[in-house]
Amino acid sequence: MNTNKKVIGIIIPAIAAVMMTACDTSISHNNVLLSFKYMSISSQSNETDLSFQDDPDYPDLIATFTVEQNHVISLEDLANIGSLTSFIPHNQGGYYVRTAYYSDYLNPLSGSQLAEGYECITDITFYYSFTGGPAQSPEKVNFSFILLDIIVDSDSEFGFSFIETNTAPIIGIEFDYGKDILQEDMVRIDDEISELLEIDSQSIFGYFPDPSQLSNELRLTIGTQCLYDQDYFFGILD
Amino acid sequence: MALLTTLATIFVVSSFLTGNYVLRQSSEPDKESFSENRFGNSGMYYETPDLQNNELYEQSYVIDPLIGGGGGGGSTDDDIFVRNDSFRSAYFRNLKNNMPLNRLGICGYTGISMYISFFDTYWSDLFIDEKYESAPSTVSSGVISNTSPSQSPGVFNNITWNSPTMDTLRNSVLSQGYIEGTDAYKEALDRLVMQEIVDQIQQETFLGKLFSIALANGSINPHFDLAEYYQNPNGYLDGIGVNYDITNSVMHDYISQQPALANNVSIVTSQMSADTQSEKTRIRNEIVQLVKSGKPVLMGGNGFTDTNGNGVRDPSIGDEYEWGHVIVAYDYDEVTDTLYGNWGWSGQRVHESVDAYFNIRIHDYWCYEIGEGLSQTNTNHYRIGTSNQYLSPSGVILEQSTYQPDSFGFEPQYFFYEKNLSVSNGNYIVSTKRLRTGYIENSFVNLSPARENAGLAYLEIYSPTYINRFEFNASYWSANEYVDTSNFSALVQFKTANGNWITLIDLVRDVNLSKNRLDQDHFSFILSTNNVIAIRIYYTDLIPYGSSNKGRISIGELSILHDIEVLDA
Repeated sequence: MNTNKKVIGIIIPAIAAVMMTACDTSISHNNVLLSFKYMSISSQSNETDLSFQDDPDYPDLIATFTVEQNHVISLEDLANIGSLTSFIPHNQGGYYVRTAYYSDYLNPLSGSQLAEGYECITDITFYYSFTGGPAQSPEKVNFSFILLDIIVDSDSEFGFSFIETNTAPIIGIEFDYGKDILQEDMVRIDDEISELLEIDSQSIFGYFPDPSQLSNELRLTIGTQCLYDQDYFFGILD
Repeated sequence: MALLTTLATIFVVSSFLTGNYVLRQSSEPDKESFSENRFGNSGMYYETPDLQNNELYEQSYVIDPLIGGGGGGGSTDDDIFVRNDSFRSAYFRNLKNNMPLNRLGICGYTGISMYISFFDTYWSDLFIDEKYESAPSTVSSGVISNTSPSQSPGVFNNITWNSPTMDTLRNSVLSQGYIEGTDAYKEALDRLVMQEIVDQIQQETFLGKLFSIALANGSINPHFDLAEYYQNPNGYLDGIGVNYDITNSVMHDYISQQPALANNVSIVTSQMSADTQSEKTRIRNEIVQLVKSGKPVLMGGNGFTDTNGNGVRDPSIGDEYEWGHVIVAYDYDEVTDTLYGNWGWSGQRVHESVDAYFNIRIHDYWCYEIGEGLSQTNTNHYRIGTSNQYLSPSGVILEQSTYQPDSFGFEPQYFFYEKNLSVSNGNYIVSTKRLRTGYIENSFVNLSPARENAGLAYLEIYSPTYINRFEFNASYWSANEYVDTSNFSALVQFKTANGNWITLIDLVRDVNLSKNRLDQDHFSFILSTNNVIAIRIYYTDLIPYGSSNKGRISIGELSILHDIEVLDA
């Protein structure tokens, strides 16, 4: 009997030890849950007055990232978290930049930020938003007109060619970006130049973007699109 | 010189029947997986392989006859990728319309397109598939300068000034009676935006290619899929903008999906790690260093218009809203410390100060590093007048020589012995060798190895100048040529100076060659090496038998893009 009691006495502590080990293992591998919630920016003045608020369109846009307790955030972690939070709410096109991840959405700059080196001790929610949007698009295109001397040139498609005497534009005319030149625009160009130079508009020979390459293909005419600022060269026929 | 002879030849097969394009490699480059190496706390990442071998660019450089200044750009000694900066400046100053027109806030995709098209023109035509490219630009002489041509080559653009903007789409939804902010409104807008995306993909534009990458990797995340709505926690798609992660994923996936580029091009990239002046300065300095090294840099950032001139953004003033934009920076004036870029606005702001515009932050950038496996090769994106000659940015003048089947002057017979013939095409005279190859029924050049005592047919074309690319149409003569893949092989090969024949494709085993000679397949081969002297089709039948000429492959129009400078004998 005594012998049996001894055996039992040995076995029981052994089981207890196994159970305690299992319990310890569980504790040492605790995970920490990092949550990232999208918010909209409610106020922003330079960098000193930033606050977030819930966006009713995206109430549940929350990404989660799990790490082991005491894990230190690395640049690789930040890249992975960046991928999880890359969706751009209220995307109107253009280019957006994500704000930092803040622990305090009411007064973000007073709380902590997620950055390389952050130690993950407890579950936490960070808040972020986006700045940016569609870039300004150009509105106007300026065509400049430059007067050159003309010489007879039988090799030219037109029988004339230019001599570069003066490269200063005599006039600049603005058009809406992207518009097609219409007949009325051509009339306006001719009129403004002829009025300025006190000549008959019929005597204007041009308008070519390259004075060394006189070609109808390149010539400013009806249908030319106003896509960028451009110099156009012209001459006056006797 | 060893670098120049590195071969990683790629070819493109396009089928008239299927419209599919297949990219293959003849020699498998070393497999190196992408990984990231951290460089301290700088925030700069290099994605391996580590290819910062500037010597490569110097050795690969042939000649630069280009004129025009760099707008006060870096000194000659500093410029490595584009040695005297002239071509880079000329390219981006004149890159105006050959890019996706930015009508839907797609500046990120327009910027990516501009960036890749530079490399496709300057370094290798393997960066962008031919089907996406714009027509060649026309130069009047053998120079490319800041003023000529007026347009740089890039990708074909199908977006017009009548195409919708985001405002157009929103107004369209509102005009249908939807109430802004409701789910029904968002769904309707989502569908319209997606329709624009799908249109680009279906029309096979380069923008469509980039969109398909963004859809696949989740950068564009529509609310519905295959016309069936499901609850997507990310909400509805209401635009096609980008941020660092989206641009980065599209840039990375584009390279990784191109067999010719995947192991030879890496991306240097970084973004601000905090919204601070010091981080903005760091990003700017890194961009400047890359631009000074001769490379263009894709970059993004934010700014505002200081309407009241007080030097800070006033959120209460509507006109001082914060916007973002993606551009290509390509020029740096050391004297004034000014960085310049192309805004991707159809010619507006092609050489604009980056600092003045991005007055809030210069947030991020991307820059290609090119490895030894992808040598600089000649491209044909600048046509000289209306001639059949092209000026490569490398300085080499190329000529396109085209042959119809009757151009060769071959007899209408399959000779059992080798025949030699010189063939003139203007001043370009090639020598040919052929076996069991003839001009048959006044229609096609046929190769026939399948006959008793035969077993081999070939057509070899030797060029007096280096060949850069070639293309031809081909099919079987009929549907009854008795060709099987176990006994037959028709290798398309090229030969470098002092080199062996290198296989590009097997017309029998690698493709399902058309059996209809009136509807041939088209094959185009861009050679990623500069010293190819001959091409051939080498067609074998292991068990030839019978008394009739069978196994016939018919060659239609064939063209060769070659240097004009004749090689030393």
